[in-house]
Formats: sequence, C-alpha cells, structure tokens
Amino acid sequence: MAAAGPTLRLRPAGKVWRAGLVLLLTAGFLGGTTVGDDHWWPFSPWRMFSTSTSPNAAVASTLIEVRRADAPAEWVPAPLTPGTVGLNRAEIEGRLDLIRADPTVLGTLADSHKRLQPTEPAWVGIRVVIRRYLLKDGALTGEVRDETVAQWAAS
Amino acid sequence: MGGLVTSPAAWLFTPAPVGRVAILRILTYAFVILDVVWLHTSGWYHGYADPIWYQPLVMGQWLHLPAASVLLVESLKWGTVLAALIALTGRLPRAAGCLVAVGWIWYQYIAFAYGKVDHDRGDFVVALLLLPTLGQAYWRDRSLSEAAGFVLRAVQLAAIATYFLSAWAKVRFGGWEWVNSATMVRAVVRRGTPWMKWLLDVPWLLQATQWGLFIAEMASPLIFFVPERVRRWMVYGWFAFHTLTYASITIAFWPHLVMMLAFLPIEEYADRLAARFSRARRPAERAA
Repeated sequence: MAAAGPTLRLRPAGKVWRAGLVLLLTAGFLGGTTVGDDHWWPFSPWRMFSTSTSPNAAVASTLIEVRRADAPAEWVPAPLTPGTVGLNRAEIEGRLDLIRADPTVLGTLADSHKRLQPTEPAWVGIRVVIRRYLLKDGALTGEVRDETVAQWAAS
Repeated sequence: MGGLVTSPAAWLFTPAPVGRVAILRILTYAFVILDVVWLHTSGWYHGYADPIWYQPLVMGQWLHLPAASVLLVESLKWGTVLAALIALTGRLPRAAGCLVAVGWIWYQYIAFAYGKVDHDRGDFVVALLLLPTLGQAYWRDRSLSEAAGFVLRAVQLAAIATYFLSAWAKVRFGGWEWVNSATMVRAVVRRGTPWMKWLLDVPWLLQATQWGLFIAEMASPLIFFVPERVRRWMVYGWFAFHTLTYASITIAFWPHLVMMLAFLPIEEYADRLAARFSRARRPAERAA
C-alpha cells in the first residue's frame, strides 16, 4: 500500500474553478427544483412520486389492446413496453393529447413492433385504454372503469 | 464537520484519500457499463420509435440534438462502453472520463426526450463530470488530497440534494397535503409486487410511510453535521429504505445508490477484501 505522504494541496486557481463549477451546478439544481420542469434535465426537479393522489378519486393506468394479423376480429391486451413498441407506458401517457387528436400516430407503434419483434404476428389495430381503479379513503373499492381514448386500424 | 459553518471553502476541499476516489471511480465506470448494457435500455429502444414521439428537452434544443436512430443509439451505447473500459484501466483518466460523461449523458438524454424523465440520475451526472478532475489515481494510494476530497464532497452534496430537493418538489407539485394523499397507494396499484399487495389493505401504513419519508428527506442535510459513526448509519438507513422500495414497487435509483457510497470509507472495505483474498490464497500457495 502506498504510504500517506504530505497532503496534496490544490492551487488557488484550481480551487476557484472547482468552487465556481459547484456554484453553477447548485444554481442549476435549485432553479430546476423551484421553477424548472422535466425539460430542464439534468436539472429537472426531483419529482418522483411528488404528485398528490386524492384518497377518494381513482388511480389511472394506461394500457393498449391490439388486433393481431392472425386473429383480427379479437382485441387482446399487449405489453406497452420499450421492447414491444419502443416506448413505455409513461411515455404514452404523456402524449395522450397527441393520440386523441391524431389516432393515426398509433400506427407508428405497429411499425416499431414489427421492427422489434419481426417473428410475432403484425398488429393491424391498436386501441389505447385508460383503466381507472376507484379509491375510497385510500383503499381500493374493487370498482374498475375503462375508457377507450383512441383507436387505429391498418388500412 | 463544523467546518461547513465556520469555513465553507475549507469544508468543500477537506482532504480525502486518493484511493477512495479511485475506487469510487472504478465502481462508477463499472456501473456505467452495467447501466448502458442492461439496466437503463429505454434509450436504445427509442432508436426504434418513430421521430414523431421525440420531444426535445432544453439541452437538446440548445445543442441541436436529433431524434434517435438505430445507428445513433448503437454508437452511443458501444462508444460509452468502450470509453468506460479504458477509464476502468486507469489510463487516460481525464480524456476517457470526459468521453464517458458525454456518451452517457447523451444516451440518457435520448432515453428522456420521449416524454418520460427519470428523476434519479442528477447526482450521477455530477459525478461523471467531476471524477475526471482528479487525474491519475491508484486505489491503494492513501495520500490525502484536496482534489480527491472535493470530488467526494461534490458527489455527497448532489446525493443529498436528491433527497432534500425531492421533498421540496413534493411540496411544489403535490402540495403540503402530499403526506396525506394516496400517492403510495397509487404506486402500489400500478407497480406493486405480488408479495407487497397486502399493503393496499392497510392504507394507514402507506400514509405513515409518506410522513416518515418526507421527514427523512427534509432532514437529510443533517448528515453533514453529525459525527462520522452516525453518518454511516444514516447511509445504511437510506440503503435499507431503497431496498424496501425495490421489494415493494421494483423501483431502484441505481446510479444514486452508487453515489451514496461517497460517504463511506470504501478504500478500507477494499483493503479488507484484498486481505481476505490474499489470506485465502496463501495456504493454497504453501500447499503447492
């Protein structure tokens, strides 16, 4: 083991730019937390699980159902994951406005699915469903409501 | 640690063993490879997503970063791995370290520019930017160095900011009622593991957890003002919290966990491991 010699000091200039960098990073993170949003990454606010969920409302979860080329009459649930469509659930949830306004964008998910899983049956229809689990006093009531947000069919 | 109050500048540059940062660097670059190849792969899949889903972040607007393509994500992924491997050997610590920082940050950018930003990676960005500032460092070097101490301090600050500022974000986005809301019920409904679903039958426990977590996060900066022994237990406490979180909702802030090691005397652990390893080898050598 290398013996501990005299303490290795930094020159004043080396301290100045290092301290300056820390101040800059601090300003970035404080700014992101107080006024920034996710678009400020890496200075975005650390807001994991920061939203309040009303104990008497509903917990929503978005899912997709698809019609497959080998059984086009039937809607079946499909995984909404990067490995199947290139995007994950939260990313789709963040773009529900776009999907509502223009359901044809769902067709790009079928294309990505074809590229990522070429051996699986192609998707000829996709619909996005929001499933709401109702809560009362912070506990599940057992009641579930589905809402179809948008639907696309291959032409 | 009263130095923080009497002389913040001296506190920021409190000398630390060079070997401690050398080991943190090894763990960080090893984690980069693990992360890029196995843990955080959503950026890679975005290479397959249609550009219509791309939503440039501020950083991408400034730097004119394009939407992902398969070629781009493959180049970033393997380029970052290659740079991390070089950095792991200890050669070219500044050049290779800077390349890792650029490659990893860009790769994360691609992961986050499609509508979902993860909130556990800010401190890791700080570490990747600052680790190369130390230059050459050998893990058995016990010399005390201000440059090494600075890197550790900055990483510690960023790691604790992750807790403290996330409490702040809860007040900003969730309001003070966050502690009494059903946030954790929501998390367990959406991602709860089968062996933790019973939590949904005891909502008061989840609510109490919210209070505990919020108080712990708000109080997290105290770690800089307590004696060394207490500090270590606080770090172990956070590790326990993250273990329980992973068991309940399979969310782990992996890069942040690596950063929390900046509080621990990891060079002593490495010495102990090395001693045990050589003890295990010696009888074998004698027998030969």
